[in-house]
Amino acid sequence: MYAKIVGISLLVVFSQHFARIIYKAGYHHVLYNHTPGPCHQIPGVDHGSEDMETLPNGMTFITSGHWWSVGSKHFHNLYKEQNRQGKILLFNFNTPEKGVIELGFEDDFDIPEFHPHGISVIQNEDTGKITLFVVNHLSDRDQIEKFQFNEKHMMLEHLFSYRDEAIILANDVAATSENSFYFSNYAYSRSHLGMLFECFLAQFPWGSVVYFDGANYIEAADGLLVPNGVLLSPDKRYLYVANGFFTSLSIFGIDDDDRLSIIQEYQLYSSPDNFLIEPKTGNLLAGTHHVLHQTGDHLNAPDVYNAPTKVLMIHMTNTSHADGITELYSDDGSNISAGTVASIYDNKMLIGSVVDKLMYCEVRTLE
Amino acid sequence: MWWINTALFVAGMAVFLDYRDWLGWNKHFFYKVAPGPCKYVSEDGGSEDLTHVGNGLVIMTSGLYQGKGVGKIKSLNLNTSEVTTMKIAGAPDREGFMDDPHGLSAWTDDNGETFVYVLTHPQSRDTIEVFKLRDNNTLKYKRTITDPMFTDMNDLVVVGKDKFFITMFRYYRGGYMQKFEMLARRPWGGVLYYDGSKARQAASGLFLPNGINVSKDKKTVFVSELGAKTLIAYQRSPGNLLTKLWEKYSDTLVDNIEVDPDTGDLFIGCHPVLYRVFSFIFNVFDYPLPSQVLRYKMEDNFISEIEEIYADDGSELYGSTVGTYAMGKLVIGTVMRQTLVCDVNYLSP
Repeated sequence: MYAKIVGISLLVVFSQHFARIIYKAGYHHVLYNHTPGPCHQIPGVDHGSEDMETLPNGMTFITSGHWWSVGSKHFHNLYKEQNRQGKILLFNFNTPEKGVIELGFEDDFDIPEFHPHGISVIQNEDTGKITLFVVNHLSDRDQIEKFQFNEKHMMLEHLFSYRDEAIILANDVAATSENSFYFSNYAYSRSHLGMLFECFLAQFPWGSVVYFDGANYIEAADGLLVPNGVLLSPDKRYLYVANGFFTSLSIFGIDDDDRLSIIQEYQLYSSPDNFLIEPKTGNLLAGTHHVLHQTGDHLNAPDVYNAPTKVLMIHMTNTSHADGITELYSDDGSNISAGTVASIYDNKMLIGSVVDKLMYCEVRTLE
Repeated sequence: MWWINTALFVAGMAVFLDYRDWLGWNKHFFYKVAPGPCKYVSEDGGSEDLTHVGNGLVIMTSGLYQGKGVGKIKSLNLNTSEVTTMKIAGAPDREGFMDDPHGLSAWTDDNGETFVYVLTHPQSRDTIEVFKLRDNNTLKYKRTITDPMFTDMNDLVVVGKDKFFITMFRYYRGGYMQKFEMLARRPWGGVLYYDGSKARQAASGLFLPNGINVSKDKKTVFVSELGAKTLIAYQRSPGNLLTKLWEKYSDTLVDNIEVDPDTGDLFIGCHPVLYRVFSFIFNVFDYPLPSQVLRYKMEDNFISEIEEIYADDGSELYGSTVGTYAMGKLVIGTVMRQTLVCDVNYLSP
């Protein structure tokens, strides 16, 4: 008798859990396309453009050749077969016809593996020195690399590798100075099946945001489920975090001890990857994954599956409050799959993707 | 026999979830999409159906569901953005004339004269009023057409003088049977063909067929099966029989269809969320009705791509029913409220 009650209760709990997972996977979504102007692919980018950041002068640094330990076996084999390589690309919005340049590294760059993911670019107001922080995935650990950009030679000088057990499975980084940064830990497990079980089946909130203050690693926010991109607000008082599983924008206030307190959780109804600020309005631009099961299939086998891309502009009434979303771009994956980030400069937009192409669009609908 | 109970439970869950999805119960938010800056040309009265008749003149029906004696036809001049109520010359002195004007269709004869056929819902029976377009502000009343088969009609497309296809939205004209027909998803609607003297059935077994229009080459008839959220294409035989060619599930309540005369693309006004439309029809709660216009790019009368050209959560535009593209602008009409004109800064090829 009691066994029946327990059995039926468990059945109901598990049924609703699995029903929610099926809805989360997005099988019921129907997509329409929409572009804000004429778009074309930037030639020479086929292995991804996962994250980017644009300086006020139009120079944009883009990471390419994404790889990480939680990728599937099929993806790892494909990576080797197609000879994909981790790169940092440079694009200038003022000379779009020149496309992207692959930045070389100075001779002393000797880390064993380079698979870049999230990036944060900071320019010193006085000296003009450009510093890049890049999340790097090696087979057995993750670390964060610091580079200085040598504009004369179009090369990157590797300055330092940040290694610590606080860097678990990193995703994105947001620099607060030339020696300090926030970064997101996406999950705890380093294997493909482990990550799928942890994040999507069991939904353990084992992600976090950590702060390195120049000397120590401090846990700034924890109990997050798949936090993705992190971005510092222009006034440096808030941190925008992409809540991958709960499809929301989390706006955190930065306290005096560098820890984070939640100010607003704004629902986006589409899983955000990376955020960037649209310079004229201060609104947030987000690349989002609208149909998660397609994104998953595509990441496992980008040579077989496409995944939809959406670019949303989130209206910010001020740097700490979001209200309203305009969709700027939507594609079912035939033009660009699994888009992650969008940067707008002077009515032109660059859209990056995890392991696919780089798209360049004119934005005519915002005039 | 626990497995019978489990099977019944799973089947029941499936039916419940399917009905819930059909109602759009999980659709809460609507991203804004606009092709450029938009402005109102009219803020009340609505414009349930509209069509561009040429030279920037857009004709629309207004006053649907807003009471007896308030139905009118308005004209919008795209060059000046001015909306005026059209005068009807020679209007018959009949009670119920022009009550609840609904779908309309414009047709030009071999002499270049343009006629406007308007579906109205007077108390007695659904009627088509036929007008000749005299000038930008005047319509000349010609005659009235009705038929015993007209129960609860929605839209029509004219293919010859007094010859048209007309959608039967619901079989029942009112009462509990009409409510049952909608909530139980009964496919009792269809398409009729009026051959100049009487109506006959052209297509049947449709659930809330709404908008109807004909392709550029006049050989394909498109019908929005609103209740099934599907666009259907029929082949039109020389004898005006309809044979189904294809259908496309569009996950939105497709309403009136406008066909671009240059490209043959379809512009369809849509209602993204069903439960809100039901709440509006049955007058429960007061949700804002979101709006959406989809553009179906056509190649050889097959869909090559579906583009969302306008979307709003109801705060800017309340309940869009139709959208047409003319002179670089998108004109969007609603059931009962505003009419919006957007500049189209970019239309993908």
